[in-house]
Amino acid sequence: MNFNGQHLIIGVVQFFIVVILAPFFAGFIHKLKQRARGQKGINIFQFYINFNKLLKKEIVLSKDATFISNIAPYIVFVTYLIILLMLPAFYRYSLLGMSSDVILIAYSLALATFFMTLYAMDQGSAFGGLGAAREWFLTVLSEPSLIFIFISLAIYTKQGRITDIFYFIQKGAENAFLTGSGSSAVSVAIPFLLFISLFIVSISENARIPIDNPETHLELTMFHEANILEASGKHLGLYEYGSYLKLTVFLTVMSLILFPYMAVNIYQIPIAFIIYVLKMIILCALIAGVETVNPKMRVFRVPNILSVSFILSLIAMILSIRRF
Amino acid sequence: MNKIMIDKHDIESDDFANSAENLKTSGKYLLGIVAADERVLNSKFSVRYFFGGTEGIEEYCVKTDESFRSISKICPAAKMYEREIYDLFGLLPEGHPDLRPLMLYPENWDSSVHPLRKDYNGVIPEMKKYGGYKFKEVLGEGIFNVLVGPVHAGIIEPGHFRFSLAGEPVLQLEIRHFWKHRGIEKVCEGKDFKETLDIISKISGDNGVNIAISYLEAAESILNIEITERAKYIRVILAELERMWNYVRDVAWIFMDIGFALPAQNLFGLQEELMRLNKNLSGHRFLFNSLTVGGVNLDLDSAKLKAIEETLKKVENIIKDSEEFILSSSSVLDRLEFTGKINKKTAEELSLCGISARASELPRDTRAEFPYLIYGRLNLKPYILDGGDVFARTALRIKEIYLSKKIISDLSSNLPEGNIAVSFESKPEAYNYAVGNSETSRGNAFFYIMADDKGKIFRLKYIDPSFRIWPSIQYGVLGNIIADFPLINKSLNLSYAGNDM
Repeated sequence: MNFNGQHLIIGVVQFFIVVILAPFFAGFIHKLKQRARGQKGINIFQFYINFNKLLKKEIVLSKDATFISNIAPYIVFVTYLIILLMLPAFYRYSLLGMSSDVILIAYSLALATFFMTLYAMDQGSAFGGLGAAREWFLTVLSEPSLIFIFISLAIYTKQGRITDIFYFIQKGAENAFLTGSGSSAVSVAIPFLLFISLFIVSISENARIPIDNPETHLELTMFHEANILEASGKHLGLYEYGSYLKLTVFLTVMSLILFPYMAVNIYQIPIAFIIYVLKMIILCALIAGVETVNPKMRVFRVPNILSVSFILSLIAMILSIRRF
Repeated sequence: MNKIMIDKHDIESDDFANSAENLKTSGKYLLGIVAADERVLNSKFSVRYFFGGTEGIEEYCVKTDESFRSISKICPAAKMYEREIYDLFGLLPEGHPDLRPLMLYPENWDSSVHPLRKDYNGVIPEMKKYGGYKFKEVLGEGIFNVLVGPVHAGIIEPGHFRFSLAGEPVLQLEIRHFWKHRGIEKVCEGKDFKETLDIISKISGDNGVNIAISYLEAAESILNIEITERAKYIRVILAELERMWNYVRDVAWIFMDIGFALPAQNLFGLQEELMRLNKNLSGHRFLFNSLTVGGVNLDLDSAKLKAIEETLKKVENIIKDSEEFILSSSSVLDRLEFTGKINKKTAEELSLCGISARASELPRDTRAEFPYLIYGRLNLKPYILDGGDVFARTALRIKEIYLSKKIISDLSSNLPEGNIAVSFESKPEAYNYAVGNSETSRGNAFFYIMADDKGKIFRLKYIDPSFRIWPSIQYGVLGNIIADFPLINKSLNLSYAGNDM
């Protein structure tokens, strides 16, 4: 891949579009859930309004807080931005496409979690420690699945960067379609298994029902929210926006597994963008559906469902290795 | 007149402490302890112990000057009452294991001032720190405390919960309530019976009718008023309507707390229907001001009866759906079953009442045990379940919604003719007293009222079911993880306002 002015400009545009759309996706899920319950529902742009409001509010820090509390919200937010810079949402050459190694992406996510939990403990509230312990309880269980998902993609395609991985799958699917050769059972099974596995990981990482309840006010039941319970003003705004970005990261990767279609030139961009938004809306509806028909499960039942995700990704990895 | 039968005994404090053990083994349980400053009468304080049992209510009266024997070690349910008496009257319960202040906070109240004594001058002590409060401590490696409240994240009343945890499992929970003590018992003294009705109806707003019925049972008994049959029927219908919307709301919040908003919204919709029905009937969504001394303030004409009937049909349909959700969804059952188990033994020792007792296999339902109004004629049998867990309490509420529905439709189809209220001139006999009982959606509401020589209230004591049940949550959470506490708390759904008058 050679450096090219067009890639640079479209890469920047792609990045900004995805970042700006992130609160919309979160708001859309919320709205869908509320409509399903027969409520009128929030304004679909409510999360933009909330972010704007939080930016104007004063930051209150506990007197026990150290410098960590001042930098953590920014580190978390910027980490998610950097991951989004790597992802080829609808254009094949993302801005940081050259360094979009899957291992880097997986551990950038862990870095953000690390700083968020540091922040939680730094404030000295009992809920922070509880929330941090729970957050790592989830992350430790979902991280192996995430790594296995990425590694099996890498082995399957013999590529290391996420842009190349999905471009390879896209090309393979195109060839199979054009030549009419059809696809092998394995090449269908692997993305299918990975999709389900990643869906479970997304539910867990994004604090969604049945693992966590993003709407609750009950401090004692929270996972993610307990970490940012002490956050206020701009810090809270960054965390909230960060959680929308994280959701978008997971949804985008899922959308790429579901149906990889990335524009390779400027003419394909409109259709690629429309397909991207459609895929995202379908995924949002899927998450909203799961959240509507399930109650939150007991905390210590969570490992069961995450181990399902792990087994699925493990099977996918075995299948990808078999392919050699 | 179906006056509650009371078996009265005067007894010495020492003798009583010795016989308390026998009382307990004979199957009687503590309904409440009422202290009163009766120094104008016989220059002594009185401490009255009320016990309930299959043969009605028994009363043991102990006269004292400054102290009495504690029975907390024999009868743990007495613990809170004795602490309350120590605070408000300054009578020392000898041998009490835990004499920390209960309602009057040493952080801002002078503990030598006892507001329920008749010689209290009404002056609030200067706001400053008079002493401290020592919480129980749990020590050990890796054990930490999580302090919740008194200010909570939602719109909840104040209560302090102190969890000692080893990871997620709860080792100990200590609660401290009574943050907004209103002094209602003192306020009522010297008021007449009608004024007092307005005050006590607002003790805990969501159970206003049932609490008022309990008060009126006592007040009308002192005043020798016999209310008409029609008024009795209307009172029962209103009481059951109130119970029904309370239960609908309680079940809705159980679903809400397990993050299952879909069925919860359905039930919240039904709660709204029921509250609109209340407004249609009485002009107030919480049925405020619908009862009066000597009868009721509203009549049920055919239009209103029709409105009740229509709403009851909706109740039946929606509750059937929710029942299916609970019984057929394994993920819901997994959250509710074995969570927050209160053992039968614990329930007995703490003299629980209402849903909390019935879910732990104790057949305690005031409507059947000490029938009032026309409940005696309905031949009710308390519904009981043996789980003692969140599931049992939720399932019981659903069953009792059907029961309330049945009672309302039976009564409203044969409402007797007559006046809805009787006028009364009678003045109570000086220093006569009476007790009243009723079953609220939380359990037994108990009133003790003594009139003075001018026909006003001399001493009023109200015991809310929440006051009895709150300590049990400390046992219910043991063996559970802290993440399930909100669910356990919601399944008991206790009142902070009723607890702390």
